[in-house]
Amino acid sequence: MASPPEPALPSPPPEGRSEDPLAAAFLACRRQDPRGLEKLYELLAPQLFGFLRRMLPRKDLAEEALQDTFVNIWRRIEGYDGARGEIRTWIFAIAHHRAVDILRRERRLVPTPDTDLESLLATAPPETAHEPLAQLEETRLRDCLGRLSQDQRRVLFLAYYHDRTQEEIARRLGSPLGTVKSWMRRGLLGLRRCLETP
Amino acid sequence: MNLPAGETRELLAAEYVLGTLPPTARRRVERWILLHPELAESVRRWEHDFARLAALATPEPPPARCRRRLENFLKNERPRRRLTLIAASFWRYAAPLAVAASLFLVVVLVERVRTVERPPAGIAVLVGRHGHARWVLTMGHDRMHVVVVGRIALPPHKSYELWFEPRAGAPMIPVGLLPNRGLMTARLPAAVYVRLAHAHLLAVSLEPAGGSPTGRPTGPVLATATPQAV
Repeated sequence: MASPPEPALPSPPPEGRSEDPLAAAFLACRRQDPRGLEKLYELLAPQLFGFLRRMLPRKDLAEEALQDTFVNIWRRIEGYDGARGEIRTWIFAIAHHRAVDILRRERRLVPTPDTDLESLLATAPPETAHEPLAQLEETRLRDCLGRLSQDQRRVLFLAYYHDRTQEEIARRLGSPLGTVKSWMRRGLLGLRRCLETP
Repeated sequence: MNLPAGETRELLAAEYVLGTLPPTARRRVERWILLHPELAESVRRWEHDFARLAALATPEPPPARCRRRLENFLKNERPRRRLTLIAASFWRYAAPLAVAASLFLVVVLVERVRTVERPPAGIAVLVGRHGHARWVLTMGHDRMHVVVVGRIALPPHKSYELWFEPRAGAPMIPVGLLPNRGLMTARLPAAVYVRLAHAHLLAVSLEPAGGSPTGRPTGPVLATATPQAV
């Protein structure tokens, strides 16, 4: 008789080295130690808030999304599966999902101003000295985005930062839908090729 | 429809993470993720890369009131207890009933399903809001058997749909439609079995005939269960 398949046990966080302050704060948070969440806030709140300010049209909405992000980290931390991604990826995904929810709620009330990726790329890279790998990956991402055409960058940015569908992007840019789809496809594939080039 | 390969699959994963897929395509991708590890890996890579895109924004210190709000939240947040403890009064009555019902039904199931070659590896007793067991699922390597407890009323033009929550707070993922009477056996690929048997929660909702059109529960949740290994 064959034995049942092995259960997929949660893997330890890939950033679980004790010298990594983000991993240490995360593990404390997982033990329900409030100091862990406060430390995570210290380490990530400025970067998350900068991101949320880009996504959301008003400062108070960014504050709401930031608060909800940390509440969700605290409440959902037992569900984090290290095998599915890094701690930062998980936290930024929570922030992004929350901001998308708020955008959809608020879009009925206020038009969302678009910010552009060009200004984002032109700014100095944020300091993430405590996470050298993250810094390297962000530098690489900037470089790869810089290799795309401006149109390709713009459609990716509008989709991710502003939760726009391809139809909405086409209307906003005054371009045919087919052209927008083509920019998006080429932009995504170009980004993947560049990121995976050794 | 088969899982596309190469660049098309990569684009599907990217657009799934970006959120630009229409609901039907999104739902299809959610099913494929369970069945195809290569697609799940593509999705994981894009989630990682888009999180880096988020991190490109220039950091901005939040106002001090944000920190105070978080501190207030932590002060008011008692150490969390498991949902089963919070709902102790409910489970005190419902659990023995559910266990008794499940044991009885496992016996019935083993008697009735003579094609089972290996014992079930997971069981879930879906309990309704009044503490009554409604569906019993037994999950094996390649099959899932469903026994309906008694007969469950089904409103016209409606279906019962089974969902699972892979981890607390994660979006529900559709599994399929459940019968409202009798016995059903469905094929259960190994990858789906592992996800189901170790899910945080299973739930059944009432949906339009044929299932939710959105890929998310749209009707009331009528029964829930935590899968157990046996």
